[in-house]
Amino acid sequence: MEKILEIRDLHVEVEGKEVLHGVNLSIGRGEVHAIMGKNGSGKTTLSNTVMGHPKYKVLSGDIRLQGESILGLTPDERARKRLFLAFQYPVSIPGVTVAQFLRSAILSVRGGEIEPKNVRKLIKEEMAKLDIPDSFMTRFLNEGFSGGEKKRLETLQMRLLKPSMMILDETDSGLDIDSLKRVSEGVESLREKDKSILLITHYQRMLGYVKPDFVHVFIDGRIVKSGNAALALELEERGYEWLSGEKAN
Amino acid sequence: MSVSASPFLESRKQASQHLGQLTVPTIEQENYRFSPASNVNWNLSGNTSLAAMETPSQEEGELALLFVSGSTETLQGKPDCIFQALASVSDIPTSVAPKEPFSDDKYAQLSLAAWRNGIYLYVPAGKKIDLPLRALQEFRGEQANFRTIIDLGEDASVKLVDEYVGDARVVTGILQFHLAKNAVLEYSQVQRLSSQSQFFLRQDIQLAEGAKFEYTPLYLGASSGQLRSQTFLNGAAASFSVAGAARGSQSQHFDFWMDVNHPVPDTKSGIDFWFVMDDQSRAVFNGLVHIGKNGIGTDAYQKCKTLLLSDKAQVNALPKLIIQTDAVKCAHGASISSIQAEQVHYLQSRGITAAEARRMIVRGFTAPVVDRLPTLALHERIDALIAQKEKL
Repeated sequence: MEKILEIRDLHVEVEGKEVLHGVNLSIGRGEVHAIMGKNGSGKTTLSNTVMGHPKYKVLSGDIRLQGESILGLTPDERARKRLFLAFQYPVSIPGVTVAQFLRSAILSVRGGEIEPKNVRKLIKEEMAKLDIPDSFMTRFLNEGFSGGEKKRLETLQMRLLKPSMMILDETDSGLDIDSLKRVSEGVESLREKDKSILLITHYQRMLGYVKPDFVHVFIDGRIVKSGNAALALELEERGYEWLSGEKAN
Repeated sequence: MSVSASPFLESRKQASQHLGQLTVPTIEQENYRFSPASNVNWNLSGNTSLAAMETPSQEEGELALLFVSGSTETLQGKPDCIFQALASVSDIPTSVAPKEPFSDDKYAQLSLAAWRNGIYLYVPAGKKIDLPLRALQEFRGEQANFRTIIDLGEDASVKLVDEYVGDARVVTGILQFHLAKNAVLEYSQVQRLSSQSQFFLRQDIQLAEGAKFEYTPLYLGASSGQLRSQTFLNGAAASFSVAGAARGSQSQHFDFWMDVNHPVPDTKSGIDFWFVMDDQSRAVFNGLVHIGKNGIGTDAYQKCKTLLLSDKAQVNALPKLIIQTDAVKCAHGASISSIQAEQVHYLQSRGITAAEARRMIVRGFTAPVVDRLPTLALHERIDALIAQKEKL
C-alpha cells in the first residue's frame, strides 16, 4: 500500500531537551491510526514537529509525505501539500474574523481549484453540514469560543481544506459527550479511502466513533507497542503502567 | 448668530496678540517634551500654498466629498447642510468660532491667527444626515496652518471623515467642535501626510447635554507630530468615545494628548488607543481624565494597547486621573505585546505564508478602529495603506 506519512527514527529537541527518542511510524493511504499515551509522553511534540513548528528542532531522522521529505518545508508549504493538523488548543487571533481566515486558508491551499467568488458559498455549505450557525463567520478567530466550538471549527477547516493526511491532536479533550459525538461524526464523515488520519488521544472514547485500523502506545517519546483497535480497549482497562518497561519499536 | 463680512477677523487679531506674548515651546516644558518645534515658522506670513494636485473622486457610500487645497475648494455631491472650505465662509450661524481655546498654547494661537483654510461644517437643529461626508485636505509648501469648525445643532446627527494628505513640511491646525443638546457626531480623522511632514494639531470639543461624539483617529503618515485634544462634557448624559490607532515605522514619532473633562454629573467617556510600532518608531499616549467636584456618576476609562514589531520601537503610556468627587467609575490600563509565534504558526498551518500571517495579525489588531470607518471603500483603502507599511 502507498505510504502517505512515514516517520523514520525521528529525534526531536525542544528548548535544548530531547523529547522524541527515535519515533518510527508508517501510515498508508486510507488508514486510520491512533496514538495513545499519557500527558507529557511527547504526543503533541510529534504532531507539532510533523507540522513544522519552528520551536521543535529535528536532531535526526526524517518525515516523508507521499514519498518526499518535508523537513525543509515551512508549515504553510506542508499545508499546501495537503497535510493538516487539528490543534489541541487552537489559538485565538483578535480582529481576524472566521470568514476572513477561512477565505485566506482556502485560497492558499486550494487556490488552483476554487475561484475566489465561490469561496463563500463553499464555506456556507460545509457549515450547514456541520450544523454550524452563520454567526460563526463574523466572530473573531477562536476568540471567546467554547472548547466544543473550537473543535468544530477545526473540523470545518479540515473539511474545507481537503487534506490527504490529517493529524488530530487530542481533538476529544475538553469536550462534553454531545460535543464529542458531533465532532467525531464530523471526523468520521471525512473518512475516505484516499484520506489518512492520525488520531492522538488519551482516551478510548473518541475511538468508539472513529474506529482505528492501528493503535500505537507512546511512552517517553517513543512508540512502545502497536496493535489493532483491541489494544485501545486493553489500555482503557489496564492503563499504561504495564507497558512502561517495553522497548521502542 | 450671524456675523457678516469677516467673521474671523476679531478672532485672528486676538490670536495674533496671544501668539506674540507666548514663548516658543521647548522640550524642557512638560507639554512639549516629546515634540520639538524646530521647523515651525511662527511668523504670520509663514503660510504657503501651492496649486492642488489632481482632484480626487467621490467614493462609493459617501454623500459628499469636499476637497480643499490651499485656497481652492471642490465639492462633489449634495451634502444637504453647510459643508465648505473655511476660507469661503462669510456668515457663520454658530457660537463656536469666536471662542479661543488653548490660550496658553502657541501652536493653537498660530493656527487661529494664520490659518489659510480648513473645513466648516454646520448641521442645523433636527437635521439627521445618514450617509457620511468626507473632507480631504491637502497641505503643500513649507508650512500650512488650518482651522476647522464643526457645529451641530440640537438633535442633529452626521458622520464626517476628515483626511489629511500632502507634503507640507509643517502642518498646524486647530479644530473646534460644538455639539448642541442630543447631537450625534461620528468623526473619523485619517492622517496620511508624507514622510517629510510634521504636524501640530489642537482640538477643542464641547458637548452639551445628551450629545454623543464618536472619535476615530487613524494616524499613518508624517515624520512626527503632536495631537493635543481637550473635551468638555458640559451636560448630563453627554458621551465621548475614542477608538484610535497609529501605525508607526522607521523613525516616526506620534505624541497624543487626550484630556477629557467631566465637570457635571452623569457623563461618560471611553478612550481606546491601539499602537502598532515598527523599526525605531515611537508613540506617546498622554491621557488625562478630570472629574470635577460636581461630576458624580461619571463613568470613564482610558486604555492603550501596543503591538511592538521591533525591539527598537517604543511606546510611552501615561494615563492620569484627577478625581474631585466620590461615586464615580474611572479606570485605566495599558498593555504591550508582540506577534505571538503560536499565532503565526497556526495561520501557517492553514497554508497562509508567514508574511501574510503577520499582516493578518496586525490587521486584526487595528480592526476595532478600521471597522469604525463608515464606508467599505474607506475600510479597504485604509487596510491597503496599513498593509503598505508592512515589510514583513
